[in-house]
Amino acid sequence: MKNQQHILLKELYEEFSGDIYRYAFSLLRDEEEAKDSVHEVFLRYFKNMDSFRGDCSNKTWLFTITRNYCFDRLKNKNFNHHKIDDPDINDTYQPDFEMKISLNDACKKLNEEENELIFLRDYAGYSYKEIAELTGYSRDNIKIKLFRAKQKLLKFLSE
Amino acid sequence: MHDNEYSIFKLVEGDLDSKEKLELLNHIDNCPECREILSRYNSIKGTDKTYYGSLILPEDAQNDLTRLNTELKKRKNISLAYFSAAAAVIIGFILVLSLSLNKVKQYNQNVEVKNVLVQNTTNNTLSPEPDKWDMSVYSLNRQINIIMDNIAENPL
Repeated sequence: MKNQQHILLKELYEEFSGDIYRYAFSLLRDEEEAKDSVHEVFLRYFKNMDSFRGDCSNKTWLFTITRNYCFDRLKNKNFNHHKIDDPDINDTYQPDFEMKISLNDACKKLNEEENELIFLRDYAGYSYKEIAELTGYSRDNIKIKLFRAKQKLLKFLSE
Repeated sequence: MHDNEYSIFKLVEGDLDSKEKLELLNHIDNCPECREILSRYNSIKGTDKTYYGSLILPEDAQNDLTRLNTELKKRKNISLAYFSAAAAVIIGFILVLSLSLNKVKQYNQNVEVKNVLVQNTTNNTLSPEPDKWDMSVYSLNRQINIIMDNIAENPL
């Protein structure tokens, strides 16, 4: 039994630890916090393994744990989210579009929800349906949120 | 915001049906502004992927697997200890409960016997303390009393 757990942990860790780290980073924007998240997510996975009914993939379940953990961290630690309230997204883009600041800096200006959606859609390659299952938002809502997040990101990149 | 910006976003996201896609692409062919917007959304999608892909879990976290294993084992042992303690408490509780129930049952039986004896004593003018008596002794005594009464009533 212990051996089985050890093998499962090794397999899951090798396959998903990187993506969990990236997902946690997209939410927390802090390398150390994201690293700690990986450890905690795996502990929670094994602690709650009996309640896993297998109605989603291991990856989705690990991502759900990551999401819950990160939002708890954000709530508890009062992170500075660098939220930008209602930027003027109606500004016309400059025709000679250049990335004047790095994407990392631009992402820091987005809130965790926007970063999360961009990560899940662009990096993890999740469908709207999968994102809806993970986040609890409706598909249409996700599309609009993602669109606005990308508008913001493009604006910050062009500043 | 350009009128077609949301449609262009949907095009990049692969969220348009074939008819909408064809119409939009025909428009984009003839609209430099829309081409520019399309190029931005395309570039950002690729950049996001590259950006997040370049984030690597720090090397020291690779040793985390050993630490995780140890911690999981520890947690498992703690859970086992809690489980054993809980089981011991439950078994103890059941034992105490069963002993108490037996005591109550025995007490009730004694009270019942006492009541019967008291009633019989009253009827047959028996004076002894019936609860301290063995039933057989009591019965024997009662028989003797009845015989003695009969002898007294019907002398030879």
